[in-house]
Amino acid sequence: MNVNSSRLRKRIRDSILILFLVVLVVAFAIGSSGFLRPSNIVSILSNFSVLLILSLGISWVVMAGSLDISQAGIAGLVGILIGLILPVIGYGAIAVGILVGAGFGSLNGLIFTKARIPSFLVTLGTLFVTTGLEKYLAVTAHVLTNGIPIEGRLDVFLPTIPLLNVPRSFSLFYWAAGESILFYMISQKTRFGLRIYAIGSSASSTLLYGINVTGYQVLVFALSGAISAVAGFLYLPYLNTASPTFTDSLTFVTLAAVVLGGTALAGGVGGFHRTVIGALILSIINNGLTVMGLDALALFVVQGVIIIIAAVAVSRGIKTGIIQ
Amino acid sequence: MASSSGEVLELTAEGIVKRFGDFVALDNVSLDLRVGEVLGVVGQNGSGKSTLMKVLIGAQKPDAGRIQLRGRPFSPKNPHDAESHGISMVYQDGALVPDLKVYQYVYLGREVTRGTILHSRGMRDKTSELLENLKIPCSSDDFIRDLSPATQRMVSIAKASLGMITGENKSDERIIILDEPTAQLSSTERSIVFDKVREWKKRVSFVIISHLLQELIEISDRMTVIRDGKNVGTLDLHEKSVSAAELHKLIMGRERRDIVVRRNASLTKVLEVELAKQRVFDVSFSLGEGEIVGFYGTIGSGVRELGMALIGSLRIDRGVLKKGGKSLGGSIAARVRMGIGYLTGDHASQLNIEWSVQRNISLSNWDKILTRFLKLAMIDSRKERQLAEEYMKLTNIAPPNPDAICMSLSGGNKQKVILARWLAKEPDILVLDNPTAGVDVGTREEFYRLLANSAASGKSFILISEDLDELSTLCSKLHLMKDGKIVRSLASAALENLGDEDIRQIIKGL
Amino acid sequence: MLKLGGRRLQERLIVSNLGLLIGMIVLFSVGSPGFLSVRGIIAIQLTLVPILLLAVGETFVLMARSFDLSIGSIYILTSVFTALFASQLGPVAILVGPATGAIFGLMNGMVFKFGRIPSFIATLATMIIYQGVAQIVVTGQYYLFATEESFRAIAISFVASVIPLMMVWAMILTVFFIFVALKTKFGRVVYSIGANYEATRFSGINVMKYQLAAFAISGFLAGVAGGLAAAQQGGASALPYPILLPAVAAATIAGTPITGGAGGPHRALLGALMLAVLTTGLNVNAVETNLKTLIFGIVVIIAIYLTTDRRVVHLIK
Repeated sequence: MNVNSSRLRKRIRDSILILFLVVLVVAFAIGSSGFLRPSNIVSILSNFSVLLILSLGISWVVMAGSLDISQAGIAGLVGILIGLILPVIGYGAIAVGILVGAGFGSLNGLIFTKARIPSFLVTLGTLFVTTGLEKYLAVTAHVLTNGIPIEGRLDVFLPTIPLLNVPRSFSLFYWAAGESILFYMISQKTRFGLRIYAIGSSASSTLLYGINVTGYQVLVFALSGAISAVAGFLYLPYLNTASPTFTDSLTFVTLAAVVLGGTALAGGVGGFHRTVIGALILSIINNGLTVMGLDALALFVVQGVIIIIAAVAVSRGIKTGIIQ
Repeated sequence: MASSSGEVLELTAEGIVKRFGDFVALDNVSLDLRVGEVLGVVGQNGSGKSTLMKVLIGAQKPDAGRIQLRGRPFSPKNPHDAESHGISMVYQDGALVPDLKVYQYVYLGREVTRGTILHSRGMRDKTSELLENLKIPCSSDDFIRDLSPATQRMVSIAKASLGMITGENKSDERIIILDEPTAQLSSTERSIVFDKVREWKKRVSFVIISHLLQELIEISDRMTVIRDGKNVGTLDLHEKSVSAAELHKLIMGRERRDIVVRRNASLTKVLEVELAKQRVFDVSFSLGEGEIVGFYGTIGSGVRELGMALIGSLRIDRGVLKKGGKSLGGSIAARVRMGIGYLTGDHASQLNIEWSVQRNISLSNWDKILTRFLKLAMIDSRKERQLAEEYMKLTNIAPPNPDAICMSLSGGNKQKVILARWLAKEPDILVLDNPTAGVDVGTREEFYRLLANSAASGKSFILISEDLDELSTLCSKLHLMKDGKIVRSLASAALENLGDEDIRQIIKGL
Repeated sequence: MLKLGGRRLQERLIVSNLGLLIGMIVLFSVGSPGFLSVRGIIAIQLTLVPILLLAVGETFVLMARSFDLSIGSIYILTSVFTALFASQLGPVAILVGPATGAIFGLMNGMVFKFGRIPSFIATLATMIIYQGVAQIVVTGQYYLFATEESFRAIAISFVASVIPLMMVWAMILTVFFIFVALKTKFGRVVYSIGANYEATRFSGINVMKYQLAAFAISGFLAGVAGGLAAAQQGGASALPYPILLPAVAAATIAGTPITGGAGGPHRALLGALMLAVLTTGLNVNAVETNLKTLIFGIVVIIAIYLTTDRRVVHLIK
């Protein structure tokens, strides 16, 4: 057996990915002069950042071999929660928010490991509960703030830097980039990261080597919840919305970003660099088609087709495991 | 602490008792291991040998009895604790983590860190040292999933001996228990693993559990037989040589039954194969009605690929593949429809493990369990039940409960379920690829009996195996393959007169 | 320790979920007499039909260890197509939905099979495509009217004065597919694919055929739902409708694991019933909108807890 085959295949896949990205960008640049305009690049980066930030949490869980679809719910809930308590305890609200997120995440993890209920179901339930709580609180929030939108309060986290004229959306990008790099480092360079990969690859074997697999699993869900919490207070002000359809579609799109980039749903393979690429591809496709002035209607169809092409190029025959 | 013969004892277990509810798994078992020896442990599935090992490494707590390690009392709290005292176990299939790199895998569970950061370079270097030391042909940076099965197995053994090399352990000596270390490996790979064991013997004492009696005899210094939770005898192979047959008797508690196989070549040809110049093999042979034709070959000989090609899972470019004069269709489904079946020893790829025995047997036996109702193919549960019970009885599956979930069955019984399915299907030709890998001697006997009976009633078999004993017992013709070609064919007359040793010589000569 | 009393355990699980269902019904009717009134029962059924049909279809795909994200879009697209032809074809137009739905389902299957990409991505892409096509079709009109009496009667004429005809169609199809899943070779094979792909292949089954069929069924049922929706509402629009999540929830909360190989449409029936009763009950009891979603979530969690077949522990991912 060719010992180098995995590395070779990885290299080939990575090159195809980069090539595909380049082709995409070039195609859109040709198709529309507006594509490469600075303001548009900023737009791409913002969409990309939003998608990415939410996908980071799922990446951890998927790497460990499970599923988590409660991100959008936790994010929304924490966003509102922080908005509510910000005037009361100032920046301490951040800590509270993250704790709440981690709390829900841990709940996911505990139910998953102790009650042995499939992660998809547990997080589905959490998604419903958190979305419900969020809506419930939104009303209260509205009352307490006398009608001033909560979102306005959260601007603090996304400062505009007046001197450099950096728009708020760019700050979002910094957060996304920063988190991605941080998590990439953690996954590659720490014992924690290595063990998460091991658990995703073969939880049973890892257990035999004396590692507390359930402990790590709970941790990874908690981490996902905390990341969602951060996403919550970041993007809520930016997007100004928490509609049900938004939650509906975003949930699966983030998972798609993870899978598209090449992180296997079976766990143990892939990582944050892959999620970044997956999110990037989806955002570019979305933006590029819009900028091309494509008939709003044809937009959807073409987008779907391109996603298929991207998938064929990139995630073809990938190890899927749980879901084919 | 020394035994009566003056050898130094590494490990002794005395009077171990372990109960699971009413079932007594270990009934006052004793065992001892000497320094620098290889102790072979054999026994039927369910005899208690795995449980005994688990007790030794702390994965199970015994209800009674005591263990001494180098003269001092030893009661490990868990496998990790046992490991720090110098005793570890390499599980069946190696307990691998396929997506990690070799050095990551080797250090999994005791990673070296500088603060929170992994000290990768250090681990990589130490692993390379270990690999070189033990002469394992791979690099620290290779992914486990890319290694050959033999190399993977060796890497797991290396992982178990890491403590020794790095000096982390509290003691210098080391005991490694290998549970079926060569299951699913080809014979070349097996010899590689065993050669390594011989090399490492100087520094490590081994306990090896295996069903492959012949090989275990070759490599062990002593052998202990466990039967029904008791130690029924320890044989010193240096004092007196032991034959597989004797072992067989100890393990089973009775003599080995003879199997009568028809040896005369049949006149009716059921299968004609002429696959010249394929990518991996170049063969030409035929199969007669009621014949069992064997194929022996090591990895790379193309023998397994031949099996896959016959069932249709490997594509053939051109050539003749005829059954009863008709050319065979391309897909697996087509071949099965034309009366060809395929059974391997790897039940993960053949069994729906969470399903009941009944449903696994009826899978692919549709004609026997369906009734037609308005063009819909309905499953008749009564017929399904009957089918299951009939073939469970024939193959002697235990426990005799058609609703039992396959996951709860022993390895041998799992194989029997797959065999039951194919026997029920009654294909004219059944291709068997190492069907008794990892199966205990008692079950193997039953298998052979069933195959012989089936052949006598006119079914034909192609047996691909690396077990010479098996091949010479069952086959009326044996083809030896090497580098994709049939290099020697032995007919039944020759086979009957040749002993296992002779055949081995012939193969060595190839 | 795997117990052999499999059947009894399963029965117990279903009973506890049924208990939950009955409990909810009692609670809601106590809360508001309107719940069990004619209007209330009709409301339950109206909510039930689309979720049920989509959930049953999705179940087949889940059983085969895949995932179909496009059912919501097929629902919308087929309702649009149906409305389009209602004026010309009259009641026959109801067949447009299932027919086109099956075709879209097959297309899903083919992208999945021939592109060799995870079904997740394949159906994500087709979800977007179908939504797009729907919007193209309704260009300029926003809402397609289909008010033909004979056409609408197929969905909204009443049987026994409490049961809308669409419910009858939905139940007939559901019972049929439950039968298929549990009692036929087709169903057994689909389960087998989900349980162990390799083993199924080696037993001589043409796996691709069955996977394509599973996707086709999913599309077909979504199409039926779409057609009935057009008839019931008297028209269709291409607005995105968040039915995907409730359908998947209905399919999975009552015991069909996301990994396939077990469960089935009978579970989906129970799940859909629970969701429909829950939603309608909360509405009729005039529960505050925001509290609704919360209670919804809590009940879902309880249901999940009650139904999970924890025998198959090692499968948990």
